[in-house]
Amino acid sequence: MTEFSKLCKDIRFDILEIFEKGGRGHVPSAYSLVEILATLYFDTFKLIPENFKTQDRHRVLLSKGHGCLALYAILYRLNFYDKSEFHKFCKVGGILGGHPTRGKVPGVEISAGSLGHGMSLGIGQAISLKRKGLDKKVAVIVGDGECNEGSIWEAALSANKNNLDNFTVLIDYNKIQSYGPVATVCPLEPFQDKWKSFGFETYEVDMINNPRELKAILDKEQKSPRAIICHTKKGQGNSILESDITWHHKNKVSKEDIELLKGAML
Amino acid sequence: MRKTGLNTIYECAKEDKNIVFIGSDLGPGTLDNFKEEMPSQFYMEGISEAHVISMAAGMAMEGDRVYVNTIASFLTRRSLEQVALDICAENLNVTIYGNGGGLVYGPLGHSHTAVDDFALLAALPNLVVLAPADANEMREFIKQSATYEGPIYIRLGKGGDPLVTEKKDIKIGEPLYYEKNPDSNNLIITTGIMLQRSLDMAKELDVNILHYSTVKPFNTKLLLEHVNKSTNIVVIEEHLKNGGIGTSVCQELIESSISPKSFHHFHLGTEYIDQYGRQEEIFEYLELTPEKMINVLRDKWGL
Repeated sequence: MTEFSKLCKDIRFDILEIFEKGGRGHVPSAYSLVEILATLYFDTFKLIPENFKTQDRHRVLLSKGHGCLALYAILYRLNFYDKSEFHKFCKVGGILGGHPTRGKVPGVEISAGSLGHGMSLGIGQAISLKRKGLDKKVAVIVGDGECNEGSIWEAALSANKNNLDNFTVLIDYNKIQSYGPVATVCPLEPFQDKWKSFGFETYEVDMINNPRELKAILDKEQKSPRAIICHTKKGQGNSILESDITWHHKNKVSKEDIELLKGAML
Repeated sequence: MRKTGLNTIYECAKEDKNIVFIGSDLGPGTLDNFKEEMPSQFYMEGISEAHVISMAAGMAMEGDRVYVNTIASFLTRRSLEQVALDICAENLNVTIYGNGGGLVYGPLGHSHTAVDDFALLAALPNLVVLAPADANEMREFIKQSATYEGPIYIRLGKGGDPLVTEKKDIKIGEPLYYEKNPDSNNLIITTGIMLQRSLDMAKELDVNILHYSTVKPFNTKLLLEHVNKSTNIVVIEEHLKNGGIGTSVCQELIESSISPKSFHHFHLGTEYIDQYGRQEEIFEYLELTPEKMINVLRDKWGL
């Protein structure tokens, strides 16, 4: 097991711990995100709490807010907040909610929950950073189902219009949305062609078998807005979550469930 | 009013590099001087109101002070969620400059009229809702908005509205009081361009006027200073019945246990307007001209 895959596995165990303590959450949507967020936070952008005291930082915006457990787990590992918050997930007095809130959780750039907002927020930030001459990048992670939202494509037009070579959208293409497969609920293919036709530099990356390729892509020189289609699996890294769609969101969780999931970790 | 507001934004932007203007797809030539002189502060983003509102929020998060301008009905109805979540919940310095408030776009039908904007926005936290009566108020509001902390919505009149307010009195949050007779028990409470109609009515009626150009937060203190149990209140607003200043007046009086002698509310009804026509023509159709309203009040008050 490589150091990176061990890190991702540890993050998945942390996600499970928050899920267990909070008694609810969107675990499979968080699991498909782990490699994407881990690459951005630990490798490419190297975000730490000290960065957040100034504007002089790269920005990671999680637009698919229901994947927040992965973000929370990573921010905890980077010492943005204390582990005692795990117990208060989705509870009164806690900072970790079922969707993340800016200003509440240190390190969270935007409040998210309703889909299709993050890309436009990130574009506003990217424009503003360029205006101020700050050489910082903005990465927005959206879900595949989220790309059903019209505002995603309004934002795509705008990223191109504003020549945002400091802006990247990463799509967590885990192929499953709430009701069922993306391919039947609202098909996105030919997906790469869509982004290309909107003026994006586009890449596809196999985040299941070759997740380190993402870092190589992110390190490449960028000349226009960039779309990276990240092929993932819903529930990635856990055999039960990968195969059973009914785990999308749970609001009751037993000790047995947790033990079962721990045993199914890949 | 619209031109004055835009020119004032331009003047403020010259003084403060953090001031940014975003339009959707405005008329040709809009703020050309702004675009030429300060290109990094001027954005025309296309017909994408939802995106534009969130983009403004993203810029404001980075410290910009953003003015977003297009047709009020699209900025309020179409982008309501973006306004609520991205701007109001985050308490950002974004001013939404809504063209065609009320019935200004009456000839274009109910997609374009903004007759429910107060109601839709009244519920949103942190947001200040302004409805200036004329270019004087607009100029002062824009100047004050340039240093105000938090989101603002400004409902625009059609332009060319007679100047009736005075520069020295205008302040966000402060209603203007027009006193004709200190002993009168009759009080018109109004907002926006209905102030001009109210002043016309005051030429014929023994009535004082309280003009709420700040619709939200509603200034209760001033209301209570001018209302008691012998007051005949008439609220006049270019808005549907529910959720505008009429609603605020009733709520605040009930909460303060004040029961005025009488209450009358002139409004646009409870349905979207089923006619096309210029603002004045629709006021006539709805019997909301000063003459018609005076007659109603004369009957009611026995004058």
